[in-house]
Amino acid sequence: MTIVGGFFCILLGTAMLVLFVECRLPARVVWSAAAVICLVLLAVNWLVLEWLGDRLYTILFPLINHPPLLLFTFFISRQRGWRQIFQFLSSVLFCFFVQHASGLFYLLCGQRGWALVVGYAVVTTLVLWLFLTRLRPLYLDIVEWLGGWPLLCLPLAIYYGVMFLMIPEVVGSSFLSTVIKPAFTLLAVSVYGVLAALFDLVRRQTRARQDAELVAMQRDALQARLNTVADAEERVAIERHDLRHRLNTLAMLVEAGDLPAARAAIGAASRRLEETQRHRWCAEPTLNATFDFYFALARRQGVQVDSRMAFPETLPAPAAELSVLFANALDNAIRACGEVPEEQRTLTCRAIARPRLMIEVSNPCARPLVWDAEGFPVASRPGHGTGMRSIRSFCRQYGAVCQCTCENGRFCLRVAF
Amino acid sequence: MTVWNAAICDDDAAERRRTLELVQAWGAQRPELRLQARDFASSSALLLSKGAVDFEVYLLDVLMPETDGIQTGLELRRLGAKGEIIYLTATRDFAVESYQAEALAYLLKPVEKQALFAALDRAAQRLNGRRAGELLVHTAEGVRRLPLDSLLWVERAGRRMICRCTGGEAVMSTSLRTSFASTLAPLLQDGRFALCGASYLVNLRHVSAVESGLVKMDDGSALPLPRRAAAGFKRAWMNHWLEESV
Repeated sequence: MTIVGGFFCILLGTAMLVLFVECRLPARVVWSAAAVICLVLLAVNWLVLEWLGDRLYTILFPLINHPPLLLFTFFISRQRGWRQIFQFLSSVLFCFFVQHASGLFYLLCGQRGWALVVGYAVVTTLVLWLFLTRLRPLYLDIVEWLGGWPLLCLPLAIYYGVMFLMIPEVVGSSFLSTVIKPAFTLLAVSVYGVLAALFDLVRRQTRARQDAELVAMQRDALQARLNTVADAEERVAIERHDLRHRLNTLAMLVEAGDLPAARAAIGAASRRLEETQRHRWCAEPTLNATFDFYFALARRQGVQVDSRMAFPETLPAPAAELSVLFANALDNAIRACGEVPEEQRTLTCRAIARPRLMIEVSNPCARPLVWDAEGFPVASRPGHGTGMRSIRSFCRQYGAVCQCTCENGRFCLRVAF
Repeated sequence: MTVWNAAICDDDAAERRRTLELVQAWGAQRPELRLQARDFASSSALLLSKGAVDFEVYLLDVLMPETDGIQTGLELRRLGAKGEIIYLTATRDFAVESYQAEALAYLLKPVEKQALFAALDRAAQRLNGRRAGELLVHTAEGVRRLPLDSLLWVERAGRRMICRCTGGEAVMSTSLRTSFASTLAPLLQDGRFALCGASYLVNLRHVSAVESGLVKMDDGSALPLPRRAAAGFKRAWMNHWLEESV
């Protein structure tokens, strides 16, 4: 293996790692660290090649380069454990695919130098395009939902073992390496395709389940709204009945000429009208049903709600999806209120329509929060954090910006379209 | 002394007179303001009047024939009115709709003097906050004082800067003695302004949208927004508007 070939593999592999992994650090830091690691590895590779020769260098190549790159993956990746191993092994697989596909093209073109360059350029571009447009979005969608990562790593680990331990020779140096390695790569890529199909299936199933949960939530909210309407109708019927009696009493007082008592009766009737008025949070019915449900829930838990909302005529997202955003935000806020004494339980929910729809939900915060690299709170307990992830996913989908802050014991979530 | 134009719109002549008296009484307690109050008997009279969108505060009755107060408020916003709206009405039924017109307050009739005065105080405070500050620009014709509220954005043009104002005016400075960022550092401390890339300082109050790599201004212009700065700028814009609306 020449130093050029070796360095290209290191460069490509590092680039794929950085592109594939969901980084917990800013992009500038990650790429700078990647550049430094590549330079150091190049120097080390060159020294080893000079001292030990081509054959030993080929055998030692994974030992020299893979542990540092694996550590680099652990350092930059937001995920932990077997997911990081999967990310690393995927990068190794696709590096080999580029190498073997380009080599095959080189052989088919009569081993001409230009064919090798063209082959590498085209295949690398295709693989990177596939990574960025298909694999990475798919992977990021399912990485938190899917389990069984040790099992998913198994075929890639077997492939790694075959490539580096069983057949360490470079393609072209022997019949075994020239035929078996590319064939095994093709087989491994096919297995990876099956894994990608599995990921896609998981994504579709999860989205279907989330849609079902959304529908169930909307159904519950509408049911609560229907119950509220039914209650209100019953109250109106009772009030009409009482009003009839009040009007009769008023008529008798006026006939008797008792004007002060008549005025007092009219005042009492007016006050009663104000008390029986139904509260409406906003004009949009789907959102109103959501607010009805969660604000009623808040009131039952002793939370004081301060709401002031205006929505544009044309919403930037479907009302149903917006209602899920609010449901997640309000659910988190109500839970947080449950952790503070009742006198501190105030929840603020605001929305302004101009210049664009902007939303704010704030609540008291009982304990210090842990923040991730993007400025969002990290769930303190396993199984928690789904609501915030849903909000972030919604913002990504609709091009909204989201911000979380916690100041003076008050957590504030803001979203702008 | 700040000029304050107030518009009172109510189809009930007695209510209109009463509100006018209260507003004038409030104005009398504010020697720093020169209050000019006009009353209108209908929404159409207000909307068709000269300078309908230029009032600093609108006191609108809700229940009026033809066009109600809520629709009047929405129409004023559509026409670009930036003044504060205070609704005066006998029923709470339209409180939710009043938020659509970005009303400052929704007061029940008969309006209590203290409640109205408190709402007018808040309106004055908001207006003073928006009007505060000027940018001194050294131009070839001399020093110009540009009110910050009328400044759309400031852009770097070589060693000079160009201040784009409402009304389409562009004021070019002479050569800057310090860097663009240093010259405009005081504006950055004013919460209304944010950097858009390295060459533009934008008045967030006049930004109508931030999308697709562009900052869209309310005069129809669009400024390029570097991809790396997009999220930060949009957050600054969001924070400005949400804090301003409290």
